[in-house]
Amino acid sequence: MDALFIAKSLGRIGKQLGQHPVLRWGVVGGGLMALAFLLPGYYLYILSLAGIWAVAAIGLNLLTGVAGQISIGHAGFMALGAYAVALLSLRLGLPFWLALPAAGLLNGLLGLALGLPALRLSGPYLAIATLGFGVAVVEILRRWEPVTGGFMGLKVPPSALGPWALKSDGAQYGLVMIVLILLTVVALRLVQSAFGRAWMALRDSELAAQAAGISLPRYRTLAFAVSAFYAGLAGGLLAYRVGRVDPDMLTLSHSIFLVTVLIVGGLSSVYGSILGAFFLTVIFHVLGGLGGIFGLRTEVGDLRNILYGLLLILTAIFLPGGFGRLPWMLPIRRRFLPSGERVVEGISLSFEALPISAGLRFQQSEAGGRLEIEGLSKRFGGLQALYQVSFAVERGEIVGLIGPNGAGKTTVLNLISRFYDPDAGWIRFEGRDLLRCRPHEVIRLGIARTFQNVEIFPSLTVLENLMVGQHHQVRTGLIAVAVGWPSARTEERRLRERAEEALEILGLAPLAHRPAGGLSFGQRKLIEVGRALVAEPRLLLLDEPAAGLHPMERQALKMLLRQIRARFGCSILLIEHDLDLVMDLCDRVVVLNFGRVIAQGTPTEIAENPAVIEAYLGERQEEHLGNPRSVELGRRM
Amino acid sequence: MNPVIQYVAGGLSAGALYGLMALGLVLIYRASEVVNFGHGDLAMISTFVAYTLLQARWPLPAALLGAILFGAFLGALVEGGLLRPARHRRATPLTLVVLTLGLALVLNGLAGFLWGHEIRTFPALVSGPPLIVGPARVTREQLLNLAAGVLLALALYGFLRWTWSGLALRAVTQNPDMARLMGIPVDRILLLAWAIGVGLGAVAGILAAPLIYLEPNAMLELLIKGFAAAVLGGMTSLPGAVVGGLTLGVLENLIAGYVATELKTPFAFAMIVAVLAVRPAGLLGRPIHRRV
Repeated sequence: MDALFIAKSLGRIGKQLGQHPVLRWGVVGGGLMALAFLLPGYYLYILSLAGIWAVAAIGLNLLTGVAGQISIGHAGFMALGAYAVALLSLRLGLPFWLALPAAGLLNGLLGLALGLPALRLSGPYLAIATLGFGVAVVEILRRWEPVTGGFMGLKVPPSALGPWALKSDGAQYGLVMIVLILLTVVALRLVQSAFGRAWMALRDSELAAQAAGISLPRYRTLAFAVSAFYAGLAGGLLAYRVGRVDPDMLTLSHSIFLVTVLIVGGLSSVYGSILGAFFLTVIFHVLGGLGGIFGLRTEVGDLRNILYGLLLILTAIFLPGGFGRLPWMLPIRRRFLPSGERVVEGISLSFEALPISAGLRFQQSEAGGRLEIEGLSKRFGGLQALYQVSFAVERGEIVGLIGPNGAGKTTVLNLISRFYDPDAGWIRFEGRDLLRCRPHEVIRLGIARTFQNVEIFPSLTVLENLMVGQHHQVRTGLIAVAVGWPSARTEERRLRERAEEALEILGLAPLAHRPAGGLSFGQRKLIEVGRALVAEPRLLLLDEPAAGLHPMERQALKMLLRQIRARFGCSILLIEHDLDLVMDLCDRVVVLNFGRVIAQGTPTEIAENPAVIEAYLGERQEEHLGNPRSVELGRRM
Repeated sequence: MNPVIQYVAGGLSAGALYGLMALGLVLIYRASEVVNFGHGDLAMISTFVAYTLLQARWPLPAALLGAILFGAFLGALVEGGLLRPARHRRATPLTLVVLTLGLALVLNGLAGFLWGHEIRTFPALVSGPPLIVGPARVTREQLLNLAAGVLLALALYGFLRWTWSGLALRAVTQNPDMARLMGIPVDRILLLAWAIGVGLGAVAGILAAPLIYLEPNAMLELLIKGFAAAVLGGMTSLPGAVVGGLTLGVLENLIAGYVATELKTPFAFAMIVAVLAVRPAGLLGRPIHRRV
C-alpha cells in the first residue's frame, strides 16, 4: 500500500518534471554531473569519449537519418574540428570557450561549401564523394607538415576556464556532458521544427516538398552545415580530451563506426544515436579490457572490427529500426503501442463530413487566380510531349484538362510547377512570369498542387503533412529555433492550429497524429488536397484526384471541390479521366491529344466536338473493347 | 628521356589498375544497383590468399589463378549470402550501402586477425631490366599492368557482346523485371556479375601488391582511385571506367611530377567532386535525366 503510494507520487513528480523542459534537462544534467564525483577516472574517461561520439552521431543523424543524405566521411569533419581547435589554441592562443565554438562554426561553413556540389548527388554518388572527402582529409593532414605537424600531429594545450585548468577526468567529463545536453536539446528542437519537417519532407518526396515551398538547395546544404558543425564540436572535444591530434586519430574506420552507431541506435532517432554511441563505446573498452586479460593485444582491434561489422550487417537486415525499436517488438509491449500503429477504419471521404463553412478563418482570395499559357512546347529526346499549347484558367473557374494517356496533361502541370523548363512559350499567373520562379517559389505566388501518384510524406504524421503545406509562410531562422526563441514557438503554434483547423474541415482530425504512410488510399489523397489547401492557393492544380476512389468517394470529392471554389474562390485546373466528374464539375474543358490542344470549350461543346470524339473513339477501336473508360465516354457522347 | 612521356607511361600503367578496379565497381553497380564499398577489402583478401599460396610454394600462375577464383567465389558469396537475403527483406538503397560497409569492416578485421598488421612485401611478378618502347623507358611491371588492364577489358567486352550469359547480363542491367519475365535467371546472372566484378578487383589488387606493401589497409587507396575512375567515366559506363582509370592515372602522375607528390590522393577526391559538380554523367556516361 505504502509502496504503491510512493511509486504513484514518484510517478507524478516525474511526470511534472517531464513537462518542464528546463527542469527536466536540469535533472538529467545534475544526475550526470553527480557521476563525476562518484565514478573513478577511467570510467569518466570512457563516458567522455562516449559523449563525444554521441555528439558526432547526433549530427550525422540529422544529415543521414532526418535529411536522408548519407555521409561516410564524417570522421573527416571531426578531424578538421580537432585540428581547428589545436591550431586556434596553439597559434592564436584562444581559450577553449572561444576555440571550440569557432571550430564548430568554421566546420559549419565548410559543410555549407561542400554541401553545394553534394546537392546534385543522390545516394551512391554522395556516399562515394564523402568517402573520398574523409580519405583526402587524412592525407592532407599527414602531408601538410608545416601546419599540421605531419604524422606526429600537434599537442593540444589543456582547456582552461580563466585560472582553472579543466584537466581532471571529472572536469573533462563535465564539459563533454554539458555540450552533449545542449546539442541534444538543439537537435530535438530542430527535428520538431519547420527545419526538421522540411528535411524529412525532402527525404520522403523531393517533388512534393518543393511544390510545398521547400527550397531543395537551401535545406540540403543547411543539413550538411549543421551536421558538420556537430562533427566539428565533437572533434574539438576529442582534441581536448586526448590532449593531442594526429592524422590517424580519425580515419575511415571511425566514419564507419559513426554509421554503425547510427544504424544500431536507429535512424532519425536522436536518443537512439546517444544510446548507440554509449553502447558501442563501452563495448569497445570492455573488449579492450578483456583482450588485455587474455593477452590478446593487436588481435583485439581486429576482433572489434569483425564484431562491429557483424553488428552493422545484422542490425541493418533484421532490425531496420535499430535497437531502440527492440522493446516495442516484445509481445508484452504490443498493446501499449501508440494508437498510430493500430489501424483505425471507417474514416474516408463522406458527404456529411464537410461542414466547410463552419467557423473557418481561411482568407477568401480577392484578386487573381488567372493562369495564362501561351505557345507552350516541350520535347523529351525524340518525343514532342507538348506542341504550341495555349489556354487560360480564368479567376474562380474550374477547368478540366482531359485527353488520352500520354497526351501531355501531367507535363503541363509539371511545367507550371517548374519541374521542367519549356522549350518555347510562356506561362503567366496573375500577370507575372512564372518561368522566372524556381520550383519552391511557385507556391508563394499562390499555386498549390497534388500529384498523380499521391505524393504525401509517409513518415510524417497527418498533422505534420499539413504543416509542411504552409512551409512557404515560415519566417523563423535556424538560430531562433535552436535557442527556442518565443517567436519560433508562436509561429509553430500558428502552423499547428491552422493544420488542425483544416483537418477538422476535412474530417481527418482523428488521424492527426498517425503517420500518413499507413493510411488508406482515399485518406492519403484527402491529406494531399488538405496540404494544398492550407497554403491558401488562388490556383489549385489537381492531377487525377478521383483516380482510384470509390464511387461514393468520388461524389464526396465533387462536393468538396465545389465547396472549395465557393468558399475560397480559388481557380482549379484539374486533370481527370472520370468524364462524368469532369462534365459535371468543370466550367470549361481543354482537350489534349499527342501534345496539342485539339479542342476547348464548355463541357457540352466538347461532348459534341467531332475532333474529340474521334480522338477518343479512335482510341476505343485500337484498345480492347472492354475498356470501361472509352465505353463510358462513348455512352456519354 | 622526355619526363612528360615518362610520367604519361607511368600514369597509364597505374591507371590500368584503377580501370580494372572501376570496371568491377561499375559492373556490380549496373547489375545490382549496389555501390560496393567492400570492393577494396575483397581485393585485399584475395591478394593475401595469393601471397599465402605463393608462400606455400605454389607455382606462380596457379597461385594467382587460385586467388582470383577465390575472389570471384567470395564475390558470388557476398551477393548470394548477404545482399539477396537483404533484398528479399525489402532493404532500402541506404541499407545496401550499409551492408557493404559492414562487409568491409568484417573483412578488414578478418585479414588483420589471420595475417596480422606487419607490412609484407609481395614478390614481383616479372623481373628484368626496363624496356624501351618508342620514346619511353618502361619497367616490365608497368607493361604487365597496362597489358593486363587492356586485355581484361577487351575480354569483358567480348564476353558481354558475344556470349549468351553476357547478353543476359546486359538485359538484367537494363531492366531486371522484364529480364525475369523473359525467363532469364536473374539471380544467377547477379551472382555472375559479382563474381566477375570482384575477380577483376582481385586482379587489380594482386598487380598492385608488388608496388606497395601488403597489409589489411593497403587497398584503400586503390579503392578511392577506382571510385574516382568510375565516377569520371560516368559510373554506369564500362568503357568509361577504363578511360576514366587511364585518365586519372596520367593526370595524377603529371600533378605529382610537376606540382607536388602530396597531392596525389587528394587529387582523386577533388576530381570526384569536380566531375559530380560539373558533369555528373562523366566522360562517357549518358546524361542523367531527372524523371518527374
